[in-house]
Amino acid sequence: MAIYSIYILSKSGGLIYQYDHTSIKVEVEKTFSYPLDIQLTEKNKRIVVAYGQKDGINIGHILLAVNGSQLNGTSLGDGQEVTAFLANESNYPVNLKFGRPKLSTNDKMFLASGFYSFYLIARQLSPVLASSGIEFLEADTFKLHGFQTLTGIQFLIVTEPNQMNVEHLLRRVYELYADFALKNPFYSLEMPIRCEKFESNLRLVLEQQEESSVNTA
Amino acid sequence: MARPGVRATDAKKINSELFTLTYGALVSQLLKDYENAEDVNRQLDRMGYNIGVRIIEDFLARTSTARCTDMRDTAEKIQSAFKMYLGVNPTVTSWSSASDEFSLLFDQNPMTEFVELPESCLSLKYCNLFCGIIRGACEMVQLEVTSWFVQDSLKGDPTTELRVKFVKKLEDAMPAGED
Amino acid sequence: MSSLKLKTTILDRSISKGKNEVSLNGFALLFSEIVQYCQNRVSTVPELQAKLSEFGQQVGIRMLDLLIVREKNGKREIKLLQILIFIKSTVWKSLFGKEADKLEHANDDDHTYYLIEKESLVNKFISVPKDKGNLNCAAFSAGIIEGILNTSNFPAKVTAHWHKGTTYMIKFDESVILRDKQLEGR
Repeated sequence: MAIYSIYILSKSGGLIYQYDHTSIKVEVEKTFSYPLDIQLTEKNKRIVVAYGQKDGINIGHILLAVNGSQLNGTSLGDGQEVTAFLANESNYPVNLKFGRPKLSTNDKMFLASGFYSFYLIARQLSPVLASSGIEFLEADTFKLHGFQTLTGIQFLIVTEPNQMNVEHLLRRVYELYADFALKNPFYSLEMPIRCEKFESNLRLVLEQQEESSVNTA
Repeated sequence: MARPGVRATDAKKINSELFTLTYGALVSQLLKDYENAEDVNRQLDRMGYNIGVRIIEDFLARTSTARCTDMRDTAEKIQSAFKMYLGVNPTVTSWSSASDEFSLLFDQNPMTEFVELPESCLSLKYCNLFCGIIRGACEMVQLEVTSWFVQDSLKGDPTTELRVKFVKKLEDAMPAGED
Repeated sequence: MSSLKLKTTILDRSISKGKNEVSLNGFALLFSEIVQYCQNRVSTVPELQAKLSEFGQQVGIRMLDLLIVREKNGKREIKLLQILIFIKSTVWKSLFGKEADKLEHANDDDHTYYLIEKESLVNKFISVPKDKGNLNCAAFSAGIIEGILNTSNFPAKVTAHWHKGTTYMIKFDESVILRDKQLEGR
């Protein structure tokens, strides 16, 4: 059982809070000999696996490190382009580390506001008035739970598909927001939430929730 | 465990005197800072509004209330909020014939427990914070209302009467996708 | 006009028993609004703390009157240690629902006492941003102590600090210490 992450959107659809609770690290390392039997391509200034999925290295993974040193975009630590480096037989055998790209803050903001529009569309699709909107969205690897307050704030929680009791958790996070953001004189409405006590209490609630669902499972 | 609503931590109460005296300190500070009762009334309303737009989230988070469909519904919610936050139970009464305006009568009010208005402050609306709170809270659920004091027991009236009037539904502010 | 109406004055009513309760959440929002009001009128952290302390002093002065009549039969404390204990227990219990955690005397300075509480009620929901340095909004509670001490003729300066939770540093005026020593001698 795991709770992956939490998003809070203001009533205008802006991301005002995001917290990654349990993150799954997908990283695979492998030593290759010449010629490289995996097709790489450059996409959005990153080296991505295009074809030739094998040994846990999947299409869509990005190249994170070469011979133990982190990549800087598409170039090695010393400035050399990765593509040129990998084309040169004398650099082999080479150790490559691949992984799932992490979402950047910008990505998250972009995705959150995208989801917001999606949520609105779903509501309009409803043939019956006053639809709750998307309460959850299920995929094979995760489940996204949403809750919009009457004032228009949206809370999203991404969990493992079998995480129980998330509805309750959503309300609990709403309470934490009402307590540790709104009763804090240094927090301004609609602005990003940067309140130490909000975060520490949230972490506590998430841990309790994970524990209690382990116990009842 | 999954029951939303009343939970031990929500029921946390404090001595009303701390509240009463703190509010008193605020009003007397405002009287010093502004010197003019009208300006103090306005400032209290403004501060009430700021509290209102926040307290509504607290109320909704803790009560799982559904959206109001008419003013009678709204009146009932406001009444229950007074009970929840101040422990008082104002009477809802004096409905207009169009059911868009009502009064809240307070026979008891912790805010004024130790208060007596001096002659120099007769235009002060001591509890004007309430008007701002109601306005702010309703606005967040897309309801524009006005509210004002009709009677004030601090001024020798037999009771304290707060009037609330529906102005309009704020359609533009409705959470998108809701009708 | 309204003065012509028959008024029951506040003195006609019996004194409150102090048993009425309101929600902490409501108080927290009022307090937050007061902090914001103060913040808009000052430019530095010490000024903000001084402003909050002024609010607290107003509360302290009135609470003292109330408690002396209700809990103390009209008798005021005249000994230094007694009034500190009165604040730690009676005042704190009435205002915040529990006694303060500890009262200590400074080792190196007989003018200075510390009243300590792990979590101040007024700070319950407050996270102080980094740019506010060591601001402690319990300056308000420090003001309550100061208001009570000054009105009881124990002139003192009281400040709030982040130490073991919140520590209120109470620095008495020289005259208080001298007087208390004389009382002890009798």
